[in-house]
Amino acid sequence: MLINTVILFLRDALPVFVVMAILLSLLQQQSIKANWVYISGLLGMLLSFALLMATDVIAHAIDDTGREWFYASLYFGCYCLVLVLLSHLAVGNIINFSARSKTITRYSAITLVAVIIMLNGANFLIYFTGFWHKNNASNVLSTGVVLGVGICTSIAILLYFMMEAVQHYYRLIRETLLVFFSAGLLMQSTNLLLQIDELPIGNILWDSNNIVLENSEVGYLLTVFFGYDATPTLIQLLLYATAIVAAFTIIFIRSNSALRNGNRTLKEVAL
Amino acid sequence: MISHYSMPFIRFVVAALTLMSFLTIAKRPEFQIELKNHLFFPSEIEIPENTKVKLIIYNRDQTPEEFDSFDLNREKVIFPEKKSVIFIGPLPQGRYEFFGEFNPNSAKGAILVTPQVPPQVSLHDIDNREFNEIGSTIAFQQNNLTESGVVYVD
Repeated sequence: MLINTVILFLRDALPVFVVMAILLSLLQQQSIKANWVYISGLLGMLLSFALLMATDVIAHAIDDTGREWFYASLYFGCYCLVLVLLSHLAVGNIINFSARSKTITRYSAITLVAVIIMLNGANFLIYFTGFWHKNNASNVLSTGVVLGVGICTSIAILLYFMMEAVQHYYRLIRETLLVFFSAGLLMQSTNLLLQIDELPIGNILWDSNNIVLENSEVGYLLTVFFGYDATPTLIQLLLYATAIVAAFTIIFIRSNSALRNGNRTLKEVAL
Repeated sequence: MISHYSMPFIRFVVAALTLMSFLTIAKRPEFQIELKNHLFFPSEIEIPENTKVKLIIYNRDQTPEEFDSFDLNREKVIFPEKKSVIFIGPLPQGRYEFFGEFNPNSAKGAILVTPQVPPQVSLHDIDNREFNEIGSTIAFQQNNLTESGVVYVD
């Protein structure tokens, strides 16, 4: 049970730690104070408990497909929030952040992290509360959580410093990681809609389980970072590619527009 | 702004889509499995190849469980004494394993995708083991440990 608790905790908590590390690094670059982390953490945990209370009702709504609809819509919402964040951060990288942009970025980050904590936290709480009283499992569950927090924190710290190091060679490392992370959320969203028959399933394009097993440690990491799916369908692949292209297009357009505005301002100052 | 002529068209489209979705769902063969004492019954079920099927999972335990399958790309929480529904397939022939994520050592099972059409069985009440005939075809497979059933809904 201990190993299972650690595995389940990693599955649900690692995405939270990863997105927090990426956003912390991105927002610090724009001189946004880190107190948003505490707000989003607290808000996310409160929402997790609220979702835990309502999850049974949600799950059995819409002909037992309520949970899929709820999670899929929120994952899609998270992707949209990432697009908003990236569009503002792209401008902030070129010219000084306006107060309005700073506020939007800050609130987008808070909402994004809080929603991810809520969705993943409620998942883990179902397990945690379901087995707490079973065979005095509370000690094992608590130990599992402590171990899981330790592993997740280590990975998040490593990621944070890795981004700092890689930034010298590839300036958009944080944005790229955030784009792939959000595309991964969209993949989860499509998986949920596929399993309730709301998206055409189609044939599986390939099975890469013989290269990287989806339920291996590397598979878990790849799923969190890139939305790795060993057996994707055509519609999933198209959505994944479209999500990535759309995000990079937004970064490119917003950066270019900020650059043009910046040059114009410089010329006006020079004149 | 929706024009005067748009509303009937939108209503028609919504009605047509709703009807189509009901018709599509109605054609899906249904399979049922249940979870008792952290074990899946039946632990193996046969489904026809290249067919999308509806899988209804009943949790008879007092604790929640998460139906998980990397082979099928499916993941669904089943609350205590409740049921959950997922759709799987169309799949090529093969063995697709699933497990209970909260009790992976005991709750294990597999979906066997076979070329032949599986027996058509109505499994209305698993607890009472009452099997009622639907249409003209009925069969019931039973071995020492497991039972398997499928019902085609027209």
